Amino acid sequence: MILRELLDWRTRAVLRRNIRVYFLNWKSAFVPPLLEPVVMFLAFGLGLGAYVGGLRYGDGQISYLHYIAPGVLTYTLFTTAFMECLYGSFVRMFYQKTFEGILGTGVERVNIIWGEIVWGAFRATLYALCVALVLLVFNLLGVTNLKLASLWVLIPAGGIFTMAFSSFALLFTATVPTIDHMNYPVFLIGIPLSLISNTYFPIDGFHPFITLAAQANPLYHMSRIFRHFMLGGRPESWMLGSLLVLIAGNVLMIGLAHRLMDARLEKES
Amino acid sequence: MTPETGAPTRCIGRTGYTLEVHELVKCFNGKCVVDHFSFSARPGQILSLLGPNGAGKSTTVKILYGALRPDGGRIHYGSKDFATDRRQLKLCIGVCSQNDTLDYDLTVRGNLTVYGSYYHRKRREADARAENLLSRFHLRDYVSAKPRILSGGLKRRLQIARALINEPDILFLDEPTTGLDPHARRELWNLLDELKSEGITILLTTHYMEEAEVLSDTVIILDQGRVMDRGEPAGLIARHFAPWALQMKESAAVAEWISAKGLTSLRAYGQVTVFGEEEGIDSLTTEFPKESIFRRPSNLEDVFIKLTGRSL
Ligand SMILES: Nc1ncnc2c1ncn2[C@@H]1O[C@H](COP(=O)(O)OP(=O)(O)O)[C@@H](O)[C@H]1O
Ligand SMILES: [Mg+2]
Repeated sequence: MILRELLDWRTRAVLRRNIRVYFLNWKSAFVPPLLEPVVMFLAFGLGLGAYVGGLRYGDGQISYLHYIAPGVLTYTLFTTAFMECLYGSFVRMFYQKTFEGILGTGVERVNIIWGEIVWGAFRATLYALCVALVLLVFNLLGVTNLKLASLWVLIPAGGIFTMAFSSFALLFTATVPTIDHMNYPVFLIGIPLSLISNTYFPIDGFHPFITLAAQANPLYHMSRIFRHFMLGGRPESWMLGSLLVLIAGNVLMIGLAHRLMDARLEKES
Repeated sequence: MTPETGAPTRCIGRTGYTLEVHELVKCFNGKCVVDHFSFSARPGQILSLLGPNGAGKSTTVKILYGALRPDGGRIHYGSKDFATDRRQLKLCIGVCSQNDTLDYDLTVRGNLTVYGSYYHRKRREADARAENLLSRFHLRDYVSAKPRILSGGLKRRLQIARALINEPDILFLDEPTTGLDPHARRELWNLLDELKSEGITILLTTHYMEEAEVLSDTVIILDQGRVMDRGEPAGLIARHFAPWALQMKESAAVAEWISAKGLTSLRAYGQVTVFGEEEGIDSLTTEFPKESIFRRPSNLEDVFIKLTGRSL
């Protein structure tokens, strides 16, 4: 029932609205995602990397820059979707009354929720493509030697599973009273989760409880898969398990987001 | 799902009853703010819900356009049941909510065309309709501006224009004139008269009794979720009061005079209002020459005070 609404014209209308607004402000829309990874690479990859030196990866050694390049990509997917569906969605719902207006039309609550989930993931995918462009430049400059062809599949697939992250954010959007309360989920849950995920540093040496808990974090699996392919790996059987976690993450988070947001949207209408 | 490409332009129609509401109920935390509310509206009618803040006007309207789930009651648009055909019916309803819900991320024109997409209108069709509305609502000078720069009156006009992008058969206007200056308010009244003449059913809420009196074919007076009375404005007033009202400070002498004459009166806020035929009450002026007496036709506010003991 809910799944069928994903493809409904009403959902597409909400999604198109967000895309249209995004491209209306395309300058502010594309400059940050292109600049942010550059800053990240310069600061962490080259700056910190000089101190860190090489990392053990599989049977060999890789530079820190090679380690975080896939991490920056998946981290971008996570934060972009997460922040958009926290702050962006909340502003649309609470301050701008955008959804209240839309609910007076042919569009239903379920379509607005889908529209926001998909929009968060879509925007994240666009950002990730920008990061990929930066990586391509690094490759061309000879700074890195990553297998970027895999990104043609990884980024769109990652985009689909990013719906878990936008949905995760909507759980907070659906429950916080004002935008000031957003700091709690961001700093207590969002950022820690995104760090314990193999994006910026390996967590293998951490307390076993943390490494175990990370197994339930979709971002952890996404990063692992991205890294594996971007460093030239071939498909392996452990990926099936990761894929299962990603699918479960999507189902669980999307389901919960629909449930909580539906109640909130009725209140905010 | 219904095949809705190129949505039908007339799913309610403009004949018979456009809207029939039966025993509508909505309660929040055990308190019913809409309490067994029934009414019906015909094409080309302006029906007003008149009541103070908190009367349940917005709640009623939100249920009728499908944003809130009712706790009880039935709603029919034309021959269709809103409970079963809501998705199709929503395409034929226009809404201008009490809150300013303009999309501030879009331009004035974008507000219209994007809303066309929320009704599954084809791009070209919505564009043409938008141009038409921009001219008609005198918004031409602002097409590429963001709505933020518009005055309160223009924002309202845009919000109403937007509610018409789908050529609705029924239009909900929740306090459309609240906060507008008298000039903008009157302009809006003219506009509503025009829409009405096109056969659109308009359901209006207001707490301005003058507005309800001037515009409506039918007024329903609401207080705390209950219907206090209803009817065509002049008839409704005539049912309660004689046509003229004299208003003055309350005093024992005046009270005595009123009861001796057997006239109807209202006491509220230290004032007494006496109702009667022209000749009957004019003798009051000669009887109490020193009092300052204000003479006016009786109005809906008098009816409201009589029914609730409070002013609107
Ligand atoms: N979501 C809600 N939860 C609880 N009470 C509500 C809610 N919405 C409205 N109310 C209450 O219902 C009553 C009627 O509100 P409303 O329909 O907005 O009145 P009006 O539009 O006539 O001013 C008010 O007392 C209001 O506080
Ligand atoms: Mg209201």
